[in-house]
Amino acid sequence: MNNPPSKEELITSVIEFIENDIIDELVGQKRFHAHVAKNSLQIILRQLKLEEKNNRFEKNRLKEILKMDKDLNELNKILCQKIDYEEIDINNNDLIDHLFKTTMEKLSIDQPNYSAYLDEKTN
Amino acid sequence: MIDIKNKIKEYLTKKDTKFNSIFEINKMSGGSSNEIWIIKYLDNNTENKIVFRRHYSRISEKENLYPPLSLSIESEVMAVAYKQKIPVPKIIYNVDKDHELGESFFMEFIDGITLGNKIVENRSVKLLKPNLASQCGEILGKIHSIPYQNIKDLNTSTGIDEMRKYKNIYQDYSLNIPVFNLSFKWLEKNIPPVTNKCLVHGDYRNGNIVVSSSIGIKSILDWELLHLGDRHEDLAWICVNSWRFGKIKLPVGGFGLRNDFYNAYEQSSKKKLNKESLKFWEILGTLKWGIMCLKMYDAYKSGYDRSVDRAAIGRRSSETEIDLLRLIDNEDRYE
Repeated sequence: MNNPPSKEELITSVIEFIENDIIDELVGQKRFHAHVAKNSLQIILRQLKLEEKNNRFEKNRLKEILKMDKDLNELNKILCQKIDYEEIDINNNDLIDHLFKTTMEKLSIDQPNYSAYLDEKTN
Repeated sequence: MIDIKNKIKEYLTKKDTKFNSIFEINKMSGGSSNEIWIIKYLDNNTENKIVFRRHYSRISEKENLYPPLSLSIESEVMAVAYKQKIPVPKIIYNVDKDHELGESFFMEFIDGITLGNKIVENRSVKLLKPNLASQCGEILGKIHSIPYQNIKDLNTSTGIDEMRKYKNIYQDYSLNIPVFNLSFKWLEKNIPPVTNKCLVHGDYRNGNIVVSSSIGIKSILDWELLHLGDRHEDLAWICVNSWRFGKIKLPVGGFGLRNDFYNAYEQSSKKKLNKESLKFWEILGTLKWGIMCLKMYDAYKSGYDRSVDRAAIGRRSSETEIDLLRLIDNEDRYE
C-alpha cells in the first residue's frame, strides 16, 4: 500500500494548480487547452469514483438480456453483433431501457453538465 | 516549406498597391480540411481585413473526413450564391493551382459574432425580427435554389451514401458501442424517400454563421462540405443538439423554434418538407458528430495530433448517445 496522498488527492492537487496558477497566465489556444486538461482530470476523478459500480450494473443488465456470462467487453461485442444481425429487435423494451441506463451512467463520468443528460434526469 | 506569409504579401501587393500597407498576417483555426489566414492592412488610414483560404499544407487522407473539395469549386459556388443575394463573403481573388500558394482564394472579411455559445447568450439576438430561426430558414431556402447545373464536378451524396460513409469509419475502429449499432440499424430501416437533389451546404449550423446583434445573419461561412443531395440534410443538421450550445429547448441552433425555421424555409424554397426525412437526417447528423468525435480522438491515438483536446474529445461521443436514444425512442421533445 502506498503512502498518502491518495490518487484522488494527487489529481485534485493538479486540478487546483491548473485552476489557480496556470489558466490566467495563458491566452488563446493554450488557455483553451488548459481548460480541457482540467476537464480531463475531472473526468478521471469521476471515473475513479463511479466506474466500478457503473460497470457492474451494465454487466448485470447485459447478462440478463443476452442470457450469458462473459467479460463486459465481450458482452458488448455480442450485443452489437445481435443488433447488426437483427437477432435482437431494436424496439425491445429491455434493450432500450438498458441502453438509456448505460448511457446515463457513461455521461455521469464523461459530461454530467450535458444538456440532454440534465434534461433526461429531470424528466 | 514555403514562407506563406511572404507569399501572401507578394501575391496581394502585385494585385493592388494598397496591400503595401499589410501589417499583420495570422493563421486562424480553420475547418476540417482548410486553413484560414487573416490579413490586416491600412486603407486610407483605417484598418481593413481580407481572408485567405487554402488547403492544409500537410494532411493525410486518413485524418480527413472527406477528400477536400476543390477550392475552385467552393469559390465558384460562393460567387454564384453572392450573385443570388445570399449573404456570403465576396470572393476577391482566386489563386491558380500552379501558383506557389496552391489552389486557394481571398475573400471579404465579415465582422460579427460567430461563436455559437456567444450567439445563444446574446440578449439583442433574442429580440430580432424576423427572428434568427426564420432568417436561417429563408436563407437556406435560397441556398437550396442555387442553380448548380453549370457548376462542374460537384459530388452527389444521398442519405444512404452518408450513412455508409460513417458506418465504414465506425467499423474501422472496431469499437463496440451498442447505441451506435442500434442507430445505424434504425437508419437502415427508415431510409427516407428520394427527393429532387439540390445544392446542400453540408455544414449549415450555429458556428458557421456570422451574426450581428442588430440585423441578424450577416454571412454564411464554411462551404467546404457542399455537395448535391437531400435538402433535409441541412435542415436537420442545424437542429442537432450538439449545435444548441446547452439551449436544448431551442432546437434550431439553440436560438429558435422548428416551426419558425421550417415555415420560413418552405416559403422561400417553395418546397414542402417531409417529417420522416427530417427525423432520419437529425439522427444521422447526431450519429455523424459522435463518430467525428471518435475520428478526432483517433488523430491523437495515431500520433497525428497529440494535443490535449484531441484526446479528450473522444469522450464527447457519449453525449450523442443520449441524444440518439431520445430521438429514436420519442417523437420530438422540443418543437
